Amino acid sequence: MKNNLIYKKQYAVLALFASVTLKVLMLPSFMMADCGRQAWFAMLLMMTLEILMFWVVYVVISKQSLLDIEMHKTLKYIIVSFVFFVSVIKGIVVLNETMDYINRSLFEGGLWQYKLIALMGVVFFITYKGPNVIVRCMQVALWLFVISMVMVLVTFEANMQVDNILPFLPNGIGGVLYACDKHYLWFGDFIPLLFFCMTPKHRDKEKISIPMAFCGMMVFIVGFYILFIALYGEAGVLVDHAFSKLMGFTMAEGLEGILFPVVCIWILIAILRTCLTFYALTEAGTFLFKKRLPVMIVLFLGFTIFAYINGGIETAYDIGTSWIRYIVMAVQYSVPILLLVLTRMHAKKEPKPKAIKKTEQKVKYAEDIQK
Amino acid sequence: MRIDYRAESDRTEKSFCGTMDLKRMDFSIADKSAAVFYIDGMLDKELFERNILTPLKTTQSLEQPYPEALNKITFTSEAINVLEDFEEFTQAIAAGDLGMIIDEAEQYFIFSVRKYEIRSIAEPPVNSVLHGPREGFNEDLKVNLTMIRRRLRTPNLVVDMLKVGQYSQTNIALIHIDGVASPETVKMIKEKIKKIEIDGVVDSSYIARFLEEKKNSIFRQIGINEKPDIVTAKMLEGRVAIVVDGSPIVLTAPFVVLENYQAAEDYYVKSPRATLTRSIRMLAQFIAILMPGLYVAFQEYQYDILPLKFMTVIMNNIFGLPFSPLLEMLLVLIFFEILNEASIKMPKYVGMALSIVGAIVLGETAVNAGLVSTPAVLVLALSTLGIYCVPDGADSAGIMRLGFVVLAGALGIFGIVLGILFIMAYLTTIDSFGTTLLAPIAPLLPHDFEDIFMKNDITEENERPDTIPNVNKTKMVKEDEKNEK
Repeated sequence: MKNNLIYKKQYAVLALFASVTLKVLMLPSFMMADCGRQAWFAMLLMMTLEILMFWVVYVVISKQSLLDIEMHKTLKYIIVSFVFFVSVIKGIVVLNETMDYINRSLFEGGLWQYKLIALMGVVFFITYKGPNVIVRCMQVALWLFVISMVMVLVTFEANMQVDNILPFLPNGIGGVLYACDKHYLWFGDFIPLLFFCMTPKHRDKEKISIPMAFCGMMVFIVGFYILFIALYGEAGVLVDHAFSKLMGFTMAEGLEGILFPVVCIWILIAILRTCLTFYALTEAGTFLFKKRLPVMIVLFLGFTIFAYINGGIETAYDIGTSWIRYIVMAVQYSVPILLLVLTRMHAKKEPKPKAIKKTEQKVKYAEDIQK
Repeated sequence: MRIDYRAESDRTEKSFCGTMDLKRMDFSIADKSAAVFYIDGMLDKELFERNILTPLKTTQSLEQPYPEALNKITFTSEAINVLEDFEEFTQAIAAGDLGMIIDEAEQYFIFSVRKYEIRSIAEPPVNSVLHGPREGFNEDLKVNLTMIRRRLRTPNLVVDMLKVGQYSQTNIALIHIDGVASPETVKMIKEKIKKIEIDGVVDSSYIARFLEEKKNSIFRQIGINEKPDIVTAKMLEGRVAIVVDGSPIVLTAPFVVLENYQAAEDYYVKSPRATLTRSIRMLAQFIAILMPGLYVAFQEYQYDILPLKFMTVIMNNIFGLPFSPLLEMLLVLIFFEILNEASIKMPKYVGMALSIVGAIVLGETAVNAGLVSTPAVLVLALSTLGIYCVPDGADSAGIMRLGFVVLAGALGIFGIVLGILFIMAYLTTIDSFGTTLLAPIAPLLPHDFEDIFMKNDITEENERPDTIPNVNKTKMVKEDEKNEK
């Protein structure tokens, strides 16, 4: 693994895209099928949990990445094996959903299998080039995202019924929790970030980017669901790829698809999100099986063949809502917390090297003088 | 070592392999036999005869040490260069200097009295400005260096001279401002140039290829400039300039892609105007690269995106065409590339005729014959205009345009999205001497945005960009800071 050092700003961008990209495509209709108009509240709960976990991951990688943390060799193998398994499952869901989104937005349900090969080629290239390339591409995509959101906000025009969101929890919280449990696999997107590592603190004094990203995640997702429910009401359950459908409610509707660029930008972001999952998969696979390129080739071929034979959103839904999600859930929540405990224990045990101490003292002294 | 004048003179003549433009003149300085050598056409003969030959011939005595004596006798602006190595002596003569051998002397003597015809300073054909300096570099290293030094009158302007090319022995000047440019960058560039082993350097583009990290990339990784004001501005940001003798193109490094959109005039007009023109340039390039591909994709796959009236117009025009949209666009692109190549290469007198042939005969006749459609020609015309709004990026834009047409033909808009993503990822992998080609967008350096999409007023840019490694951030002390002091 190389070039996995990131700045706070880069972590913020990674977290933002890792979390929001796929939650606005098929998930709104899935959630509405199980908890109706309370889907936004379910998202609020899940996003709170998600943000907390993103914070835990941030604290962990502020010291070291998953592969660099010192622990017993066997324990590390077990943890990485679990992460590998989780990444495989997430990979299937992410790839199938991305492909389905591309296919339904651009090809009217045509022969998507041929496009899959082209997609996997680009995902392979970006993943092979490494974490730095993924992060930087996401930074470029952030600009496109901002431009697309400005386009949406400027041209948005729809008759929203605020009443659609109400009443609030008429049948208690049971339905909401059931929906959260059933679609858990669409959450827990922080695992790939464990393979990154933050630059030393004294070089990156940026303070607001991470809280901003967390706020952005929450506002975007919950706001999107409120908007979606306000527009469609109970009928939202029939609306696939909510993000694309919402792009139809613009002043530009008369020009037929002038907001099509926004959908294209979202496709680009979805592909980058896929790259992030495959990056985690590659890193975990490389740790377990040693040779990076052969591991990548086998993984990509495997995924391509699987998606070719058994692809589609139905597969993603079946896997995502099967019992496997409990294993994924257990791994996704336990691994970051376990790593946090390990790094804390390790930090307490070992005294800081003199050089690091000195550097920190110098930085503190310089900061005091500046104050 | 005492030189035998006759033997050394013959040896010198022999080392030039009997070339006819090597001139030899034997004469006496006081009681010593001597010979001078020079290449015909590269010497200021008037200066040579008046200030060197006549004083030497008329002098009554020549005493040791010879260098001091010769400096006293002759009248030249540069001191005599004394060489002990025979190879260096012949190389200096080949470079246009006057070489002298004196009997029983201990060294060879070199007088610098070069004079040869050079192109006068003129405005370069690209990057013309309405307001601002019009000087452009020419092919002479010294003239080019003078143009830069006239704009940077500081002892901190450091010029390192290097020689590259086994046969061409081309002089290369590496220029930077000490205290601004990063010493690591200067060192890196110098080492890379020193490592070049090539038979000859004909143009600065040869050096650029050696400095680039990815040799086969379609993207430029080193800046090219034809105007001293631009080079000066870039050096003030911390870049290093590389001037190659015989080339009017001065290289600058490090380089970022967004430099292509920063025209010289942006810095000479008011910032709102500069911001507007810069945005137009970016939009033009975007249209230039993607429009032909989008036209193909809309026809082949995503036809439902187009408004109905617009689609009807296109349908009416493409009805009955013998080619698919992809082939049609490729055909028009090939037509254009042929015209473009011909218009650059052919004599100027037939340029007008070529325009008529290109615009009327090929364009209109092809449309009338039903081979290509009018919208296709229109799309290509717009695209080509867009390409030349950013002349520095025209090479890569032309290739990308072709690539996007092929991708759109195969995969529609999905192909274009994949292409954009691939290019984006590829660009982030290329480094240019301590910076990334896509900086300051990726990695994100918000500080530098004052001169990227928007152009801030020059009075507000008080710090050098973070994108270019430098050792001194302060560009300007603001009024309020001055008052505080």
